Amino acid sequence: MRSIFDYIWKIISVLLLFSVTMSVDAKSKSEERPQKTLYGVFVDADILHPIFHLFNHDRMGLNADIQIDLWHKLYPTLTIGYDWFNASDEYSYPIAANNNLYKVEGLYFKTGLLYNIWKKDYSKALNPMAFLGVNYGCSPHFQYTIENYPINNEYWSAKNTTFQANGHTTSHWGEVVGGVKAPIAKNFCMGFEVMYKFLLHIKDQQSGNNLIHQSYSPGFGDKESGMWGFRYTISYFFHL
Amino acid sequence: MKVHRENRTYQRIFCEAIVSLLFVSALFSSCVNDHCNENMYAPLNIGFYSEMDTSQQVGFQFIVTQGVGTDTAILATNIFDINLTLNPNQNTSLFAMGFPLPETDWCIQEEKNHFTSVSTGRSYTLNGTINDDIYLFNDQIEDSKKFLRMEDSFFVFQKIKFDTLKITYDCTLEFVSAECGCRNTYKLKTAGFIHQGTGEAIISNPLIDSQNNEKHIRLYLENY
Repeated sequence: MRSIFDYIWKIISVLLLFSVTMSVDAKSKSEERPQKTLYGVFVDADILHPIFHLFNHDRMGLNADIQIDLWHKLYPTLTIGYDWFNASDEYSYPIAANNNLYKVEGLYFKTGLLYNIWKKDYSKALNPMAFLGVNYGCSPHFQYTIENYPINNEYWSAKNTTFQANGHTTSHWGEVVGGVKAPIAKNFCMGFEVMYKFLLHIKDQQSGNNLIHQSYSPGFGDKESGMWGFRYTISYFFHL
Repeated sequence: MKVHRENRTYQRIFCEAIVSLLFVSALFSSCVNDHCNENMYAPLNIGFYSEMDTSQQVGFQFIVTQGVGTDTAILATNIFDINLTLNPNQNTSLFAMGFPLPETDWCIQEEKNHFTSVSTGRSYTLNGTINDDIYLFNDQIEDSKKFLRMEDSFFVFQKIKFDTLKITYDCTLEFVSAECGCRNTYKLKTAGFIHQGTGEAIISNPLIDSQNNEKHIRLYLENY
């Protein structure tokens, strides 16, 4: 447990160091006004989830976004992503079952607005930035597959049967985002983001006499404990 | 030149940060709520009331119930209400229920299966077994009446009123979550005893799920 706190402390230290570096750097610049409204567009790709996939083949996620740089201050964003997750082994299902399966997959979209809280050098097209923002996320038609969940009724001596279902449903959530991004080469940036997510709704599906709730949503994660999300991005900045 | 040096600084910072971030994000990203915190049992709760004074709840030393079609009789003791499981494969459940009447008789055992009342001289014969503690007897005088044996310093025989409660309902199979699996919930439609003279069943709360523990059926019993 102590090593976890060591790592968290290290991150905080790095962020502080980063902020001090940036502040000093920014203070040396003269205060200027934005020279134009639209500086350019970032295209970001997340590399964190593909790395996870190398270690956990039951989980695969890809996402990318575009961020429009307005006055080096506001960044409207649009994210598209795809998650595939065989969650069967992740849950401690209490009844011993034969190969019970719970799998979700689907596209998701996010749109939001980031605000750059770092001091800006308006003379440059590409600046380091630290941002806070909000996102609205939606997975409009994700697929679920449920297989071999036992239906037990010992009192009525009913034959042991299993529950099977598949279909599509919808989820919505919100996010509060914080992160940093800095140029590392010409027009290329690296950045990381931390997201605090809160679920707005996952639509239950009624099929005949069956009512199906979901435990997981692409883009959001586990319904009960998927509050935190992370991205590590490589970006290319298109000057406009 | 200066821009190049700045970029190298950012690269170094990000290299340090990525190792830490990967570790922490791996911890958080793989988090799922992997234990079931839901109550997966959705029982039918039945309360007992007096038909003479409908506000008065009736308590019993014991009640015997058995789902018609099952092998298991349930003996519930010292109760004002009882939880039963409806049959999820049918839209109707029948429960044989035995309510002890106030009348009791103290007996001595003469032979293995024959008991004689101390006060009236009546003879009782073992007629069947419900479980290890409950035995059914025939009264030699009132042939159809059945009694339940309770063990004390004497054998205490108590007359039981038997009837069958018939309940109709709609059943929904609910997939609660990946960690909890499936449970059945019900919406009650009708309830009542199939014979006259036992009492009346009133549905007070038709929805049976694990969230709602309010009494679903109130039985207003005669003779109590």
